[in-house]
Amino acid sequence: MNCISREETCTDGTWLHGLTAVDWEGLFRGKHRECSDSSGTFRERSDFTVSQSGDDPAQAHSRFPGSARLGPAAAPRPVCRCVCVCVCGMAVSGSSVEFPGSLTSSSLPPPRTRIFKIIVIGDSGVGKTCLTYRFCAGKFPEKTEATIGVDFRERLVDIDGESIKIQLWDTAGQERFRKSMVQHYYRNVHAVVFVYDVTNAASFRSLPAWIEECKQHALGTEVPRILVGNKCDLQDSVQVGTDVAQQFADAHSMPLFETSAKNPNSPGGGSCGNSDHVEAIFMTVAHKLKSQKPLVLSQPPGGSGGTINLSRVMNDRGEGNTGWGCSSC
Amino acid sequence: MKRLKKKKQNAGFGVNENGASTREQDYGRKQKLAEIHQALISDPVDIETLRRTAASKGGLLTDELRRKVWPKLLNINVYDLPHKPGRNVREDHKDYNQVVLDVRRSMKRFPKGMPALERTVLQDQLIDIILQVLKRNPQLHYYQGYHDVAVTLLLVAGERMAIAMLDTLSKFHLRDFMDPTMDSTKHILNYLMPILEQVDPELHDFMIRSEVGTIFALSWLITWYGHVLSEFKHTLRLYDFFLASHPLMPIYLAATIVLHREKEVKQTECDMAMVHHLLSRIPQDLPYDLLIAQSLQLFSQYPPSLLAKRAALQSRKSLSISTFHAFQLSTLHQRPDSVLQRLTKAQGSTTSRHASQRSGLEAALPGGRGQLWGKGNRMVKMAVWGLSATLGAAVFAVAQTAMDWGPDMLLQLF
Repeated sequence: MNCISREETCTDGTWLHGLTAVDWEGLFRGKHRECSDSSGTFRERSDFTVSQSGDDPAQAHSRFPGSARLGPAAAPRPVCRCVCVCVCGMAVSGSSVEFPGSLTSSSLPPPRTRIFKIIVIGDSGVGKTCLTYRFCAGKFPEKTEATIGVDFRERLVDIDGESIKIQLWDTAGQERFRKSMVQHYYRNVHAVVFVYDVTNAASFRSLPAWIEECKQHALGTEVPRILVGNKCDLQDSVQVGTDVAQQFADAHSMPLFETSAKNPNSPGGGSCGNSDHVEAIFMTVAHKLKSQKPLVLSQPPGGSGGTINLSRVMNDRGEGNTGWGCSSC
Repeated sequence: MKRLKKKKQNAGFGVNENGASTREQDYGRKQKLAEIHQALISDPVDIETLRRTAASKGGLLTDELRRKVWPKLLNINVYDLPHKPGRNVREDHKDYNQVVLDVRRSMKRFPKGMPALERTVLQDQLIDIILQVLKRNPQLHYYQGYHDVAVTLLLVAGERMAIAMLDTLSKFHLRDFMDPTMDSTKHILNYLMPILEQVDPELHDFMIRSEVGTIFALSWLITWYGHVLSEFKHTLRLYDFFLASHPLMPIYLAATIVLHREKEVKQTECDMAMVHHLLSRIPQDLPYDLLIAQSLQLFSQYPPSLLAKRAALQSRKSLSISTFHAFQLSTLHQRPDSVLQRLTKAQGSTTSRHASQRSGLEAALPGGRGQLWGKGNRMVKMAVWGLSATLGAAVFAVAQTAMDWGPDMLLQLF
């Protein structure tokens, strides 16, 4: 009965200390700088994809207008250090656990393992379950059903030599669940992943409601948020263009990823996303969190301390800090 | 094939038994069949016996019996069933997209060996059934998981009877889940912890400390476990039980399951994620007969009214609970099928004449002298008829499958 309180692993107050993380901002600085310049945005985005997937860039970027203009010349562009680390880290020591029945086995990491709790939200049927399953089990699930309430998946990863548990909370998409059921799970969340379906415009139009939902649960700009456009292997039925999505992401200061949780090896599947891509999305978030969170683990939340930190961070941002969040959202 | 299936079914409640006790069980089974049969032909129908047998060991035993007993448990006249949904049922419904989305990806709920074509026919019917009931009751709102209930009814009872049963269930047992919001559902879930507190305060405290909440039991409650059980026979066993019980019974079973796993829970890290994860993955080999008996015991020991008082549950009005007494009263004066058939015919209702004739084939023989096809699932028949026009040879395969998961004959058991 080893009872670890939440405060020891993830406190609202403590992890805000490190918000001005260098790696992450370096990664997205370009994008933020070019918020109003859509073509520049695409270029930044393209670079990012190259570094993540390690795929043939011509194939990997066919969905991005920017990269189409860039052509093969995109390949040698500078690769972001952060993402590179992600992929390498995974290749060497990423251990995938789909979390089978026994939780109490000896394979559990020591209690001091840091836990990053990420909530995945978005409309029904956009592929939240597939994405989280893809990341945690390493494969595309054959059959997924409607998620009722909240599902939980977990994976232990190694980031820069530190073992970190990534907890993904997969939520029900139907509105009635989000209103009164999912609330409980917004608490102590470290990051939010918004998912929409690139072949379903309605799921994209719902995003403002989801963002609002997050705000209501006091998950504002200080919590890292990313936007994922899923199912981009279905190229023939794309309804949400990358340009529109990118504009939206910029307006809300979120990085955008377009991907497909489906295995790219299947015939006709995935010209833009692949398994590494899904991997990189969550690993990128994990890196961001790792760089944000202080190494001190068992620091108590310290009541007012958290509040002070929060306000300081927000002030920083007000002064032109290019962090995750931005005052526009 | 059929014999094999029966063997499996017997194994469901004869686990680890030696030959002697299997014989004893066979005897018990026969006795139970006779008892149910007798209750069905009593006038009025002996609903108390039906309820008791549905909850007792082995439940209602066969799909054949379920098709006879389930309507009685819900006060449904099988000779006056709603019509098949027309084409317009899919037009202009706010929940249409959500229903289609959920039904299309509910492949796991259909028998494994079922040909895709047949499954597609059933999935289309499932969409129609759900929309039909929602259209008939504009006050009801679809929730994800409702389709898990509907599919169970459809697979056992066929399209028209499933509509009738789903309609009644939605107005009574499932009513709280179908509000515009899930607040009432949350209220029902709030009964779970007080039960645990009564039985095992230590476990209760552990769970409170972990802040696990009760969402792990949400899908259990609103789908009557249909969403989380992979073995259809277990789902059926529980549906027998819940159809015969108070609307809060799924919560009592949830408490029983948590208590059953008490050691596991206490050994888990006291953390929301860990405990939620452990509990939400329901073991597939639970001793259902035992757990059902324990739930009944808990229910009589700590009835909802007592829990509401002790735990100071907010005095929110639950429609399912408040209407249950009246619902139970309404089931007391049902006529047996043979009488119902005569009465319905005599009424000469033009609207239900067709229904009487068709379901008469299937339900008019309480003595159990039916043939498999006559008593078979109408959907399967339709699928087969549809196929036979185009795929002559395929009929055989489909029929085989239908036989495989079709009803056992009551006759054989006597």
